[in-house]
Amino acid sequence: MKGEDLFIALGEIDDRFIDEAMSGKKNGRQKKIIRWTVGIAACMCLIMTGGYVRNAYTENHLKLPMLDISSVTYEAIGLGYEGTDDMSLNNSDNINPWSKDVRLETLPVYKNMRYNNGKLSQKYYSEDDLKKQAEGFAEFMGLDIIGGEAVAGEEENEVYNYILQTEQGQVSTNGAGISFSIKKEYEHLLSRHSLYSFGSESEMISGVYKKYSVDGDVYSEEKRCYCKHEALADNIIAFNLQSLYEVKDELYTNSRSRDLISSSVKIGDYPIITPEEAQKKLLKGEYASSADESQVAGGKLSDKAIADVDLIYYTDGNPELYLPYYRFYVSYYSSDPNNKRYAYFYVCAVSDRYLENYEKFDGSYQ
Amino acid sequence: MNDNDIIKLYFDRSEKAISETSEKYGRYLMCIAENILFSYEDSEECVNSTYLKAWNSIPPKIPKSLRAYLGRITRNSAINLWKTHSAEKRGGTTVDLIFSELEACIPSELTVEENIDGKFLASLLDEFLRTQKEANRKIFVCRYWYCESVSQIAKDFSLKESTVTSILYRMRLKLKEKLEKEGIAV
Repeated sequence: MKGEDLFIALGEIDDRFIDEAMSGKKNGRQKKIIRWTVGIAACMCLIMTGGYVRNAYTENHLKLPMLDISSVTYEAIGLGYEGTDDMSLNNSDNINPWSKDVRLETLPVYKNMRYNNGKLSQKYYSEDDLKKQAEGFAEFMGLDIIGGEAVAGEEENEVYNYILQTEQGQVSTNGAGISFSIKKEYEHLLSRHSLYSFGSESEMISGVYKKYSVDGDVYSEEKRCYCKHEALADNIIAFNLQSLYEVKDELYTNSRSRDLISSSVKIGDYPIITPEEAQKKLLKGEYASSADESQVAGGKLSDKAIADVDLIYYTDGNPELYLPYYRFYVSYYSSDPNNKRYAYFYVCAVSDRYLENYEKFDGSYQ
Repeated sequence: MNDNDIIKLYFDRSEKAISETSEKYGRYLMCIAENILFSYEDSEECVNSTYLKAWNSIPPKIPKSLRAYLGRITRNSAINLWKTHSAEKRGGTTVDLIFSELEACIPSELTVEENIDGKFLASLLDEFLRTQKEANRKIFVCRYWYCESVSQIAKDFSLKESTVTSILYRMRLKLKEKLEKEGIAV
């Protein structure tokens, strides 16, 4: 093999990397524009007013495409709405790299290429693509394949996932990651899944998330980890879009890698609002939630009812875009006075200037 | 016009598909070809053949990313043309330099005669790129996919040339290690 062969083989790398490199170039060129415009603005400031730097900064983002978020849906889980409780919050680790004291100017937004008009099935990967992914994983893990089949969607060319049965457990891939339900006696293979997802040199950040039943018993204990990066924004992306989950039950350990980046294209780095600005929007009713506002503690949304906030990318339900959202933990009606409940209320973190069709969710699923 | 609309024009067999493709991606494709060929006329020939190949392949092909699909066709055509033109006068071009840089990634145990399946190699490269930091990956792809000069990459990413050179060097070492680990040399 020669350098030329490697060069030719590089021609066949994933489309995503080819697109991504160009987005990097544009960013680089934009950076130069920022410096130039800020420089000019700084000069202007000397003779005029101080408002130009801000204007120059915002001008830099004018070329970002508008984001149509009309397709974003919010799924209710558990007790009829999406939320959590005191016990789960206080007894779980928090490995979200975002915290209230950090200030970010921009965060990336991605177009999900697996998006299929709101359906969980997708057309981006063919049955054969998913089969290859599952078999490639099995080969890497050293699994003995018994057989496999694809779960087809309703329409032609739609696939939900490909399920591969192996001696050691079941492998399932839907193009957004790989799920591996492994038999207890083969648990020693689990570390290979991490190796497959992140490579050998990566430093990991991990934590355990617990969920409690109404009786106070732990019904789910999920270990979650992601690869540590230098930049905060990269860690936020890794935490939300490229992480590994591990849940054990009596018979199996389910190890699930989430890789939403491989099947998405970065649209751009969008200016984001602060959590304080998001809270003002929440109180004005500019939010999305599967919870009912009338069930909020105190009967309505108020500063007092907001217990906490974090920043996440909403990825449930195969959405069209992967967007950052501020997720507010709002005190909610609970039948158990000893265990407070919180409902999630979401406010899109991207500046309004780039959002189209931002509708308040009305709680219905028609 | 967005990519889906352009692809629809190909499916409708509308000649507007070519003009829309040219308007949106002509400059991008010319850059790819010129990085390899260093000749405006040859690059133009390459880009025109890209449009023809796209016209003949869509449908039945539905590109996942139209930009990457067209870019790949142009890159392949440009390499073929470069091979034809430079068969007698090889040496000294950016592509020669890139070949020699990539040569350093190949495990020494691997002899020139050994043939590696291109698709298998591409899947290893995907795996390798997936585990790299985004910023480094972009630089690697700009250099070895888009064949851009180190100075151009440094400009585009607002970095010093020495930083780009050093990032590329470290990535080549990592790639070599990856190829060795995956038993490419066996």
